[in-house]
Amino acid sequence: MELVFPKVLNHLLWIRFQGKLKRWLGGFQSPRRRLITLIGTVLGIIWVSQAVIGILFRKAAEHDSMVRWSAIALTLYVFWQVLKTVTRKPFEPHEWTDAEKEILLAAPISPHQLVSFRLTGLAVGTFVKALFVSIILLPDLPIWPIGFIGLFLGLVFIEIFRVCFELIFMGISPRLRWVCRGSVFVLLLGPIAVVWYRTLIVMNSGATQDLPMSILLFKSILVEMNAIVSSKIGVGVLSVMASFSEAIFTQAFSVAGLLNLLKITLMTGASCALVYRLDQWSRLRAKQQESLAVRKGSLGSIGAFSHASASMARIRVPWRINGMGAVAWRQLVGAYHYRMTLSISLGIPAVLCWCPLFLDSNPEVTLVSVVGGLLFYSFLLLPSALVLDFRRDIDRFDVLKSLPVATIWLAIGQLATPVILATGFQAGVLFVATVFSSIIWSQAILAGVILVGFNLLIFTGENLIFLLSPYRRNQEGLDVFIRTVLTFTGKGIVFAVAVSALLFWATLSVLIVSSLGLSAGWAVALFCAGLLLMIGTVEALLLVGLVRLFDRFDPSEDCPALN
Amino acid sequence: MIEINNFSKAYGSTLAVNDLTFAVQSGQILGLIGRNGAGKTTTMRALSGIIPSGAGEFMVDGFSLSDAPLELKRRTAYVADDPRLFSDLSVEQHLKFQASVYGIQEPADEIRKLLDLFELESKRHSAASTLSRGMRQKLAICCAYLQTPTALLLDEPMTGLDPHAIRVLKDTIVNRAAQGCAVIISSHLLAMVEDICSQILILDCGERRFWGSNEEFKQRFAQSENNDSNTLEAAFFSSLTELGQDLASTIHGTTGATDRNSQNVDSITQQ
Repeated sequence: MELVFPKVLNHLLWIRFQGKLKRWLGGFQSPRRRLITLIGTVLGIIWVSQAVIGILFRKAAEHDSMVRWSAIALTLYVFWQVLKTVTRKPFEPHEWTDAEKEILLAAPISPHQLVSFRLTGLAVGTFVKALFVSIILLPDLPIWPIGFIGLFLGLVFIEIFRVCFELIFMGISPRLRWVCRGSVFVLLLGPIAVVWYRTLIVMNSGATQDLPMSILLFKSILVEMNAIVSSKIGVGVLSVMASFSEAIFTQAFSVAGLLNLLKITLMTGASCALVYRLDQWSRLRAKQQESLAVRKGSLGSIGAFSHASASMARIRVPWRINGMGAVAWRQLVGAYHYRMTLSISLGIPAVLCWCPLFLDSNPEVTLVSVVGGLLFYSFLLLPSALVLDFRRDIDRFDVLKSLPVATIWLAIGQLATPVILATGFQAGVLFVATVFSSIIWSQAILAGVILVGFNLLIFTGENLIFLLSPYRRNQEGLDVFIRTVLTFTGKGIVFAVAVSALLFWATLSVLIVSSLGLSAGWAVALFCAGLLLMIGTVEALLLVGLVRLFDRFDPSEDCPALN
Repeated sequence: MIEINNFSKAYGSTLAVNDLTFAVQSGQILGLIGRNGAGKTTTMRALSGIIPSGAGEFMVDGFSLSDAPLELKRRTAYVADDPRLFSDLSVEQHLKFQASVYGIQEPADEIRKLLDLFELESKRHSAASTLSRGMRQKLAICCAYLQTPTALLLDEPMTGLDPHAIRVLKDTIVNRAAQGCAVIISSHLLAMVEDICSQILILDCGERRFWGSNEEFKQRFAQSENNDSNTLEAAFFSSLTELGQDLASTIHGTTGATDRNSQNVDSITQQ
C-alpha cells in the first residue's frame, strides 16, 4: 500500500489542509475582510436557509425523471470537461503547482505515488462536493447513504475521466489534437443544430398557438432533447452515467441495486487504474516529444544582441492619457493572447442571445428578450470570462502601486478592457439582432448605451469585491467552492433586486408621465434618464470605493499566498 | 559524482541547451557561469528531474535518471534561485516533510542545528508564506542540507541572503565538498565562484564554451595583452571577447576592447 499511497504524501495533504484552514481563519481577523466576511455570512445564512427549506418542505421529484435527468446532467458535465480541455492552450497534465514541481518532482517519489497524491487530493475535494449536493437532494434520495456513495463515485469518475482525457489530449501530436478539437465541436454542435432545426419546424407549424412563444420554445427544446435522449444513440451515450444515476436514486436494497453499486465501484476503480497507465504513457510521449523538439530545434538567439535591430526598430508607445491609456493597453494585449478562449466564451452566449429572433415578430418584445438575455449573461457569467482587470494582477499589485499614475486613472484603465470587450460583445449581438429582425435601430442603440452603464457597474463591483477579498484564480479547494456558491447567491439576490427596482421605476415613470398628460414616448425618456442617473450614481460610489480600497491595499499583507 | 552526457533541451523550436557534457567528481565544486538565458537553470532542473530532457543522460554516483530515478533523486538536492515552498507549511513542517521523504529517521538534532546555523530558530513555527525572500532561501538550503546529498545543485544560492548567511553558506559548501559531495553552483558573483570553486564551466547560448579548472581558465583568458588583472572576473570578460561576444560595448555603447580594462569592467560588474 505504501508503494502506491505513501504515508508522507498523505501527511502532506493533511498538513496543507491544516495550514490552509489556519490561513483562512486568520484572514477573518483582518479589518479589510470583516465587511466581506459579514456579507458572506449573511449570504451563507440565506443559502443554507434556502437549502434547509428546500430539504424540509420540497416534495420529492418523480423518481424516473430524476434518474433520467441526473444521467443527462452528469453526461453534460462530462461533455463540459471535454470541451474545456480541448479549448485550452497546451498545458502539463496534473498541473503541478510551482512548489509541488520543485519539491515533489525532485524528491525520490515514484510517478505512481505522485499520481496517487493527485488522486487523493481530488477525491477529498469531490467528497465534500458530493456531501453538499447529497444534502440538497435529500428529499429525492430514497436511501441517502447509497445516494451519497453513488454521487461521490459519479463525481470522482467524471474527475478521473477529465484527468485521463487531459493525459491523452496532451500526449497526442499537435495535428491529432486539432482533429480531436474538430471532432468534439462537431459532436457537440451536431445535436444542438438538430434540436434547433426540429424546434423551428414545430414552432413554425402553428400547431400550438395558445402558449406564449418563450414557453413554446422551451417546451419544444425539451421535447426534441427527449427524443434525442430516447434514441438508440442517446441511450448508448447516457448508459455510462445512467448506472451512477440509478445508484444515486436507488429506492430499496436489492440484489440488482447492490450489483449496480458494485458495477460503478469497479468502473471508478478501473478508471483509477487507467490513470496510472495513461500517466506512464504520457511521460513516455512527453519524452518523445522532447526528443523530437531537440532534433528539430535550432540554437536560439537567447542572450545574443543585434546592433542592427536595436537601432533600426521604431517602437510605438501607447497613448498615456493620464496613465490609464497605458494600463488599458496592457490589458488589451493580454486579451489578444487569450483571443481563442474569449471568442468561444463570447460566441456561444451570443448565439443563445439570438434565440428570441426566432420567437416573435413584435420588435419591442424581441428587443427586450435579447437585452434580457444579454443582461443575464453579462451579469452572471461574463465577469468570469473577462478577467482582464485587477483580478488578474494579484501578483503585480506592487508594480501597479509603484506606477506614477493616480489611482483613479489606474482604476479606470484596469476596468477599461473588460468593459470595452463586454460592450463590443453586446453591440455585436444587438447589431445582428437588429439587422435580422424588425427591432428599431434607435431603440437598439439606446439599449446599447444603457448596457454600457451596466457593464461599468458589473465590473467595478466585481473588482471591488475582489479587493475586499483577494483570491487566486487557479486555486482549487473548499474555499473556492464556497466563494462560488456565495457569489452566485449574492448575484442572484442583486439581480432580483435590480430587476425589481427597474420594474418599479418603469411603473413610476409611466404613472408620472400619464399624470402629467404626456405621451408614452416621454415615459421611455424619463425611464432612461432616471436609469442612467441611477447607474451613474451607483457607479461613482463604487469607483470611489474601489479607489480608496486600492490605495489602502498592502500587497505584502493582503495578497493571498502562492500555493 | 555527477555526470551529464550529451544533454539537449528545446523550448518550442529553440534549443536552450545543446549537447552538453561534463562531470563533477566527488569533492569538487563546479562553478556554472553564463549570461542570462544561457541554459544554467535548465540544466540543473533537468538533472533534478523537474523538467524532462530532450536528449542525454544524467548520472549521480552511477545511478541514471532514466533507469534509476529514485536513487538519483535520493542523492541529489536542488536549491532553486527563487525557491517555491508550500506556503501553508511552517519552517519546521517543511523540514519534517523533507526528513520523511528522504527517509531520515531522527532528524530533530539535525533540524535544530540547521535552524541555528541559518538563524531560523525564531521562525520555526512560522508559515512559509510569512517569510521574507532571504528566509525562504535559507529554508530551501536547510531542506537541501538535511538530506545530506552527494550531489548538491545550487542555483544563485546567495540571492537574498544576509552577509552572515552568505559566509555560512560558503563555509558549509566547502565543508560538504570536503566530505565528498559533488557541488554545482550557478552564480553571477564571480568573486565568490573564484573563492570556492575548483572547476569552471561556461555556458553560452546553450553550449559549453569552456570546462576546466579555475587556473586553466585564468591562464587562458586573463593573461591576454589587454588585461593585466588575474581575477576570474577579468578572465570572464576577456573570454567573452574571444568567444565572439562583445558584451561591454553592447551594454555601454563603447567601442574596442581597451575600454573594458579599467573602470568600465568595474562599472559593468556593479550593474
